[in-house]
Amino acid sequence: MLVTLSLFSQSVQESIGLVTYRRTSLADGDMMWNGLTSLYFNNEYSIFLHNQAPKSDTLLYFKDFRSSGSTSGDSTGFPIYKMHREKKIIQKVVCRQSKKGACMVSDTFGTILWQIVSSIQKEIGGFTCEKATGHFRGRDYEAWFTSDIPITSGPFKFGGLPGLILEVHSMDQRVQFLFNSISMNTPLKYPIVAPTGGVDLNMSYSEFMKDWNIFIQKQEKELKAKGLDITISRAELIELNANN
Amino acid sequence: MTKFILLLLFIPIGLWGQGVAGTVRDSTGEPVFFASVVAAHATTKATQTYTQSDENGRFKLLIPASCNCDSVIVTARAMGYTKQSITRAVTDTNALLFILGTSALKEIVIKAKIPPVVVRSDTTEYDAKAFSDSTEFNVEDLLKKIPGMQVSQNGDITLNGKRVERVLIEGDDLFSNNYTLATRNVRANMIGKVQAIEGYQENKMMKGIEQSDRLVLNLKFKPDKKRANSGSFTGGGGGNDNLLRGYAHTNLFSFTRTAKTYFIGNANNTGDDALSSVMPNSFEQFFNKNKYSLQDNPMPRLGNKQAAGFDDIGLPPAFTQKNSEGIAYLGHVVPVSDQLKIKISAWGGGGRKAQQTAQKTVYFTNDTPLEINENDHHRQQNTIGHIQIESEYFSKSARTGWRSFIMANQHRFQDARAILRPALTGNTTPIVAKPNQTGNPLELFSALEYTRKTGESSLFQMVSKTGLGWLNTEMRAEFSPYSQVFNLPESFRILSNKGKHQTGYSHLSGRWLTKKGVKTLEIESGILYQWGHSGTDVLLGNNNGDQQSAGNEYQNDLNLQQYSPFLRAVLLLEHTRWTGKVQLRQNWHNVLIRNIGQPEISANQWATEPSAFAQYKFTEKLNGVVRYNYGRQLPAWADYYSGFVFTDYLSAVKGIHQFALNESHNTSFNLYYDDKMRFFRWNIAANWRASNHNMGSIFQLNPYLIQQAGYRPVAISGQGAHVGVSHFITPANVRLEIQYTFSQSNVENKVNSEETREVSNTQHAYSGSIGTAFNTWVNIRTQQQYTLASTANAAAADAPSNTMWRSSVEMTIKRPGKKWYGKVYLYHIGNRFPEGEWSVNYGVKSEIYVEVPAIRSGFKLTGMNLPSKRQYTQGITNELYQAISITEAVRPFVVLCWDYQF
Repeated sequence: MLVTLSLFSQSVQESIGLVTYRRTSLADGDMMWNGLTSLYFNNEYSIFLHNQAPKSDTLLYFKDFRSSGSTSGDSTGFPIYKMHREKKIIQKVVCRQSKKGACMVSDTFGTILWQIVSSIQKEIGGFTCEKATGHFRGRDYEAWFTSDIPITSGPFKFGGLPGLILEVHSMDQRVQFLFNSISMNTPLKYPIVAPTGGVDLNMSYSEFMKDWNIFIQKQEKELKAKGLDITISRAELIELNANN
Repeated sequence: MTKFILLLLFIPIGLWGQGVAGTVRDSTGEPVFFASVVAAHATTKATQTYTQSDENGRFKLLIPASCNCDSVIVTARAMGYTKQSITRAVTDTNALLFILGTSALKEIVIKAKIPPVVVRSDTTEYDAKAFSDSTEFNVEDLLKKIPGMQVSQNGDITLNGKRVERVLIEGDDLFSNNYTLATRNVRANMIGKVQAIEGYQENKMMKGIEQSDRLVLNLKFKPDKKRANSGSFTGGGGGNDNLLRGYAHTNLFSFTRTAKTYFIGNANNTGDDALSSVMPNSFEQFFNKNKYSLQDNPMPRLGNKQAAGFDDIGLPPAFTQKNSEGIAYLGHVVPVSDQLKIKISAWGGGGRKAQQTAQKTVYFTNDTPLEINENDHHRQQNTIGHIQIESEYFSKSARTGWRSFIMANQHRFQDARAILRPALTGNTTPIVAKPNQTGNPLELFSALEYTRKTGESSLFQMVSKTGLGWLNTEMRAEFSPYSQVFNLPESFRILSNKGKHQTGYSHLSGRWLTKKGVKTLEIESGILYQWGHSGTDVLLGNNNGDQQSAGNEYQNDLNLQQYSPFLRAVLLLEHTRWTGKVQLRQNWHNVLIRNIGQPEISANQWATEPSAFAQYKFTEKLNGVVRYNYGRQLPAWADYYSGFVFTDYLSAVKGIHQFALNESHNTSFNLYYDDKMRFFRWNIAANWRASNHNMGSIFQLNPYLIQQAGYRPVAISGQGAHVGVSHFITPANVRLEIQYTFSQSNVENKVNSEETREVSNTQHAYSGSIGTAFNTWVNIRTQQQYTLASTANAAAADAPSNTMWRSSVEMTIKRPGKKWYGKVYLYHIGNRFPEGEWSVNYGVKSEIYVEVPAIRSGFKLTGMNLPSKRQYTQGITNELYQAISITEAVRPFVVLCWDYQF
């Protein structure tokens, strides 16, 4: 079936394609979101969803069984909404400030300094992909993007390349997003809108993490004041820091 | 000087590079917003820099000096437009203009090939489709094709040398130890993924706090089968000129938002062993000290609980047994809420089977090896009913959890034999024996567990387990020599050994675990209480109904009471590369045993049992494990008998009435290499064991009830080694498995309660299998097993030995994508004794399957034991005897089945 589309004949808030990735993170605090993830995209916007994130509050256990706890769920899959032109992200995160457990924070997009290694290519899902390497928040990554789909997005917060990223994995082998499927220009559209349903903290991601660390330290101090020498574990996440 | 000035001028230009600016417009002249613009080296085509156009279609690129190029190719791309490339010199400063034509976008739907294996932390997930040629009937057929997975003839599964403890369905443990009910009855094409979960914890609160070495499989259904109704029905009939055969099998599954329901049914007389998967296994060891499973019933054995086994000669039962049996299973999982889940599992079934065997057995336990020949017509009936209900509740905060398990199991069996034996010396008539055993064990078991988190990484747990068991048995046999043995008139040839047994068990324990950094400390304390009563009597009778007791020596009225408080402490250290664990268990055994005509036994003893475990990770793929365990166990409850209890028409056990704990030392070393992504695994294992049996049973080998001979093992030691390699060679899709197992056991027997005699048995087993490509016309899978067994025995002049070679070949012919296939199974059994020739036996089974998609059905024609083979011979050599048996083959038959799937 052939569908003729132009960018101006459709709403910019409507997806023109969907790519799904198989997410594998060995980071303790992130493992429960492993599984299928989706990126709905058009030229200007994309939204990344964790399909298998808990839909409601649930128990969680960290790798190597160092610690355990509970986490909040989100029926929308903790979306990461990316505005390509504004180079900005609005994402839903697990937070302490909301009783429902989800908040909205902003972040930068497309700031990774990629090195494209055009001489190395491989085929993913029938698309010829070029290799690019870059550093993002504490880890070195290898990404594979295709110029045949000139969309500057990819899984998670990755993007900023001259084509859609179909695969990305960290060099320490602890994080990977593998291509699972792609559908483009099908009659099925998905509205790409900024996430709703969480408390807007009016904070950037780095401010949010800084606030979280201060909160943890405060908790530890309070426990120490009660005579309990407890260190609250900081689970490993995909983003090892909030710099960049 | 001029050259120097020129150089100075060029260097900055080289560092900053050249700029390329331009505009991207469409064919109507409108600007193209957010087009991707890439500049590549004109010769190498390597991307140098890239950007996106703005809302006016304008862009600006800065060619880096590292380009080292005279010209670049600038390409503009945008969704919905054709791409355009312009080559230009880097020194050219003119603005570029791209005019992109509109393109007709094709609808694209691409799905990546699912990787055959996905590794996620402790879970390895196998994509069933990647290892299947879609001709597998049940899950067991599928598992046999997964690299590293071994399925034994009785259905036990190992993965790279590690035993699979349970098989879960959609994460739920519904079958306990009877998982072959699932693996042999759930259709293979229902399953999308098979997950191997290491470090399994059935209580999710224990994750992260308690280390586990349990390995389980989880079967995940295909998404399209997880609907309100899915399943299959297979039914048909056939036979031969002698007997009609019928087969019916069904899977009915229902997945809804509120519940999961599984129904399995299998009824046939075609030799498909439906009931064996739920036949009671021997109980778990009384003191299941080191593992926690709520479903494990630690109740002691109920004496002579199991019906006698049938002759297993390495062939599917359909070749040598006439059967008629059926089983129905119902599983229901209700997630009442996010916190509460209830799982109900019930099965029931029954059946009859028969087998005809001629056997020659040479026993080594006498000074002169004793040879016995017998022809045996063996028939058995079984009925079984089982229900278990498990519930689990975890609070929303995950701080408390309750789990409960209740189970009831009733088994009834009748085992009847007609045995023809050669005449005794000086007696001209052969002897016929007609032993008939019945039993009806009933077990009730309940367990309750409470877990509470006392900190981020610490918890307290209480476990209570209670079991009750009842068993009535009767061994009734008609055998003419009984009258001589018991000095009774010749007409008293009917022996009846009736038994009534009851036992109860209660366990209450509390344990506290805490994990801080690399250290985990566990303290457990509890008490075990056990009581039991066993009443048995041997009566001799005649056909007129007259009966006489065989005397006090053959009677039991045994009462037992035992209290065992215990304390256990465990320290576990987990570092990046190594893990070490030491455990000390202190038991107090307070036992009181009373029996008719025997002195009262009262014992109070401390038993200290240390054990240790160490694991070292050499690399991510290679790790080594060393284990040591010292145990001081109580003998099994049945061993307290002091009178004779006939387990067979010829053999009886007699307990030793003194109390002492059996001692055992077990040491093992394992090395595992597991490259999960390249499907290459190997494992090396070595083990040493030694035990002293201070108390046990005398096994009376009393072939004619004339020559009295008994023995009991007093010391057993042994060592073993195992090497296994498995490799799945891609892209050729060849599965290769090679195994070598060596075992040696030395048994010191106390013969006739007086002299001791040492017997050693050595076995070398070589086995291998290879399976070829799954998407080709012909797939072959073959398994070979070669065993050398020899026994050195003080009583035997020459060391008896035998060699056995068993093999099977499964060949599938299937054109990829076509809806038919043909299969041939060829079984071979070869035996050779030192003085003899190879005895070679073959059995053949064949299948032709044609699918008719229009009616969602298929038709399968199965031919069994073609060409005809009258009998199968096999040999066994172990510490006690060497036996050669000849089992009559089932006559060839064909069955046509309709297979409907939805």
